[in-house]
Amino acid sequence: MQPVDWGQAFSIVAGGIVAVFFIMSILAITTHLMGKIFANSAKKKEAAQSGEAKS
Amino acid sequence: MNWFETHEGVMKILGVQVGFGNLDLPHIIMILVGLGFITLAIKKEWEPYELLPIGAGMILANLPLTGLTSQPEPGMAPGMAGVLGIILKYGLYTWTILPQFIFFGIGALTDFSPLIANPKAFLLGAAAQVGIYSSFLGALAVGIFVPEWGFSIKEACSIGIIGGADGPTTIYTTGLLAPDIMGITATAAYSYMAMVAIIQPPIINFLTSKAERSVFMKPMLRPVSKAERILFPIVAMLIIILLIPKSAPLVGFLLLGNLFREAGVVERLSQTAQNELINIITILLMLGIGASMPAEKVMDPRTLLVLFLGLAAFCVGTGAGVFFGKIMSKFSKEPFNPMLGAAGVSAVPMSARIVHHMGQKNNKRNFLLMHAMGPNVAGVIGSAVAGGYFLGLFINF
Repeated sequence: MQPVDWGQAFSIVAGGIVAVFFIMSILAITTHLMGKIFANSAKKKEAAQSGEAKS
Repeated sequence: MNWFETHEGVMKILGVQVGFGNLDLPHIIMILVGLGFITLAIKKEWEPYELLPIGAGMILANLPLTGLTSQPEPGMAPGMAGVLGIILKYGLYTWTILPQFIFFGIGALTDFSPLIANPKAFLLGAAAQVGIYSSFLGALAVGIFVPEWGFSIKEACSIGIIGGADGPTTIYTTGLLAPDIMGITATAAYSYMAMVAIIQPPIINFLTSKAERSVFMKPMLRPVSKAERILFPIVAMLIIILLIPKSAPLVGFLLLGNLFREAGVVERLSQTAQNELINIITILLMLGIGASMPAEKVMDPRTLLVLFLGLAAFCVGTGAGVFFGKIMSKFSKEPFNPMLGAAGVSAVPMSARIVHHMGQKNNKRNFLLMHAMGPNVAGVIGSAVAGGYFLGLFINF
């Protein structure tokens, strides 16, 4: 059994936690923005449709 | 001349060709463990689709003289490789394609809408992966106390990944990093997934007050459009794989399966992925996992350590999720039940159901299932990312 390189082990842990949180945060932000864009375009569509109906 | 001397030839044949003459205690124990798994699957219905074939594979692999687990090798005479050996070699050890196809089926079965509707759940899915890294360190620390039982850094990664409570990720990661302990890590992952109802509630109760568990959340999440559901797997796939390319075999197949589901134009392919394909692969994969546990590999004190560290990873993951849920509840504008963090482990949908039941137990008005499904499916992505991160450190495709 080779002796453990604790420096490498802790850097793996720190890197792993940062990587997972970083990627999941980017996914959260992207998904949130995607939702906003779709919600806005849906609102615009609705507004245009109600405008057409009025005219 | 006594009876044995007279029948020496017959006894020799019995010793060589009859299994009973070659059955030893470790193999008997493994056969009993296999029977135990089958009993749990049938009587308790604990992950029956996984534990029943694993138990059956375990029994077959430990019956002597069958040759079922003989793996094909160059120069081997035709017909000498056993069917389980072929599954092990090509499905798990050499090509490792079976877990990826399971992920494809899971993607086709998964509805990401609760996560798309509440993207904050991604963070809970991330927090619950902390257990992976705690057991990674724990596995390495074993060598300090008992050097001969110590784990290598690759084995430590494989043990830690049990904490993601994600069978295919555990199998894929261990298959590439530490194939010798793949059977144990995979069985641990599926067993702990089956025991979510036993493992998680005490941890949740310990870390939260009754008032926190009773927090009421509006049952309805916002509706998610079809376009969002189609775009999500594509965008998520691109982001994750561009950042951690080694997660592609898992994340890519998971989200590809989901794209098939959401696209709505390949209904037959989606249905096949959700049913026939995942069923066939489950049979092959779980039999293979069972067959990867002959007594010679499992009868080792380190096996118990793997099981213990895997359980610790699962518990720490649950705790970290709840703890992060508590932080989120402090900053959330709307009422937020911190128990949702426990659903960040990717035992889908069991963890979400546990949170839902505990929510209803503490506040009858609460209906947390859809809220909990968000972190639950985020956990699947999170554990695949964690697995890809480990692979990126040690494997060069």
